[in-house]
Amino acid sequence: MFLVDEPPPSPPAPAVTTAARPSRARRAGAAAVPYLYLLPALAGFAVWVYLPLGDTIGYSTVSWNLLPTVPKVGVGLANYHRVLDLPELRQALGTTGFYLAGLVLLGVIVPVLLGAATRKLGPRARAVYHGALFVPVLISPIVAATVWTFLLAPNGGVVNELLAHVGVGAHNWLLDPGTARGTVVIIAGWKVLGASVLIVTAGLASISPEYHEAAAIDGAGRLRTFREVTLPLLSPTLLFLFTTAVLLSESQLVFPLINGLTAGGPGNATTDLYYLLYSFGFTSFDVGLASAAGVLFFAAFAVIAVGCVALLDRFSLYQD
Amino acid sequence: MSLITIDDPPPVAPPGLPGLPGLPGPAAGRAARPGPLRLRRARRPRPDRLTTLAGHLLMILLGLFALVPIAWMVLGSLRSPADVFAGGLPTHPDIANYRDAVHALPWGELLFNTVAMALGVSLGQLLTGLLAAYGFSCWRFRGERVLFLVVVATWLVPLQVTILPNYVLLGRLGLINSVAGLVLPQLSSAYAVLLLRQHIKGFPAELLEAARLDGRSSWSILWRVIVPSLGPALAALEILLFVNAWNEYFWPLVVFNNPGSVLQIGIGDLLSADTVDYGGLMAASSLATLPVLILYLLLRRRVVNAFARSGMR
Repeated sequence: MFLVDEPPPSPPAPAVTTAARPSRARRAGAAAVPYLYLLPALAGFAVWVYLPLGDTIGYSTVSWNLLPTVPKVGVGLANYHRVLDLPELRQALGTTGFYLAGLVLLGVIVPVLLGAATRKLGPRARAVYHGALFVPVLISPIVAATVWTFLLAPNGGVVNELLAHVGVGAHNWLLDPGTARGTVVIIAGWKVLGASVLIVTAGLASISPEYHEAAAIDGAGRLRTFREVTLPLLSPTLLFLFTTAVLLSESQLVFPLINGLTAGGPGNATTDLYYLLYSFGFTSFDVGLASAAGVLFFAAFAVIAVGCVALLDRFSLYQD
Repeated sequence: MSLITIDDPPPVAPPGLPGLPGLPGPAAGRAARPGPLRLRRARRPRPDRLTTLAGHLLMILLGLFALVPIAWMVLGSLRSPADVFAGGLPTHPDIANYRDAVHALPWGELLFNTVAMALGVSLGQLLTGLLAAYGFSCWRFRGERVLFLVVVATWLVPLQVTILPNYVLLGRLGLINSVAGLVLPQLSSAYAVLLLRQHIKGFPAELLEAARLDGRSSWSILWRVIVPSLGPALAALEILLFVNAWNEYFWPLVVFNNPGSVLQIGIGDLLSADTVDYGGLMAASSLATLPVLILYLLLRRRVVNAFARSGMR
């Protein structure tokens, strides 16, 4: 049980080596073993992620409406020109930036501060709090959308009722273009905040207390210790939180929220790039346009994300 | 041994002298006590009561933020449809909303499809993830880094970018409107590989070496040595993957174009109906969340712990 409950201080590195080497054929067989274990997972990724990515690139140069009987017509780069001329694209880009900023704030920055502020709580109290914080993780994005629609209902919802007590008039949070995006971010934050605090706390607990003791003996103050000892040692956790906030949260959490809460509206106020891509494909059935947008999106996003991760990784410090 | 607090610093002793919260105890007096250990401890920044109090307060607020919406959903589902917006505890719990919810959706079909999808996807991900994690943690081989990147880089490809080719492929395979069409594309999960790799990497190398010297094949080491000792952790991971799959919305949205798909889509349809029946919606949402909450309660600490560790290398 030791290995389940506690992360080992240093992961045992020695690999299972092939000690006895009887024959060439057997050696070749033994060398193939690790690849065979990887095969099922990699085959899944090949068929459902990487080959379709190639297909998307192919589709981006044709005109097609998804009907198997209709032939695809090559149009060169025309789809790319069309995408870049779309006014919706710029708006969706801005909205995506807004969501990403919100997700990094509520999924990384605030949780790190909260985790640091609460790290000295006793184990029993913390277990109780963590039990509560985990619950939104279990709630599906679409149920989160229904619950918050109920809470935010313009006529009688509890949020407006409570705000009425402090003199704020009833407001339709999701139908007002001025507040719709922020409301979506807060609901997404409700799903990720507690979860991230849990992950941060586990990361903090895995930092050996000796580092902090050493810093204290050297006379470092609390802020300085946090900045120069805690944060660098926490960087693997930060990297994980940042990666999931930037890469996964919007496509897998915000997307269903938008679909359930606003369907991209009012106007296009809550439509981000992911939702735009989806509606190009499944509302307008414009395969070429959707694919060209997808390729551009993927390329830009991959460059930015890889850059960010590389940057974070450069400043990371690993205990082992 | 507590499962959540992974290796906690020793609990802080209450200040020796009674004092107002917030007033730091007389550190000098404590440091003067004999014993080298005490001297060292006294030098560590000692969290005063105010910090602890603020910590509790923060956690209580966060916990309320997390739980109150769920509680409101369940309470709302138990109010009578007429005063679904009322505050407080429902004095006379009313199941009318549940009756409405049951009539509003084809529950049998939705439940069957959802359970089949969640089981198929989560067990599949656990298996492919276990095998891949074993390969990555117990061998050094050519292309290891590249192949690991291939796994992680799947996060760079959003579902929305590849969905059209995937839809075309599912159509060609005749899997539109089928549970198999939901399960097949989700059988590999980078998240599962990463989580399981952490667990297998933490496995003592001496045990593996001993098993190998006993003449066990790598296959038998995996199933006879590693899997049995990872049992509870695997159960927790399976629950996490099951919950994820149960809550999946995107694939069913694409694969099914008839109303008898999965629970999440059914609830989404109720939500986007022209006139929203809040009571029925809360009842349906509560019903769709109940199985997941029960699963969680079965292995609460282990699940939280497995999840909290996902940020570690």
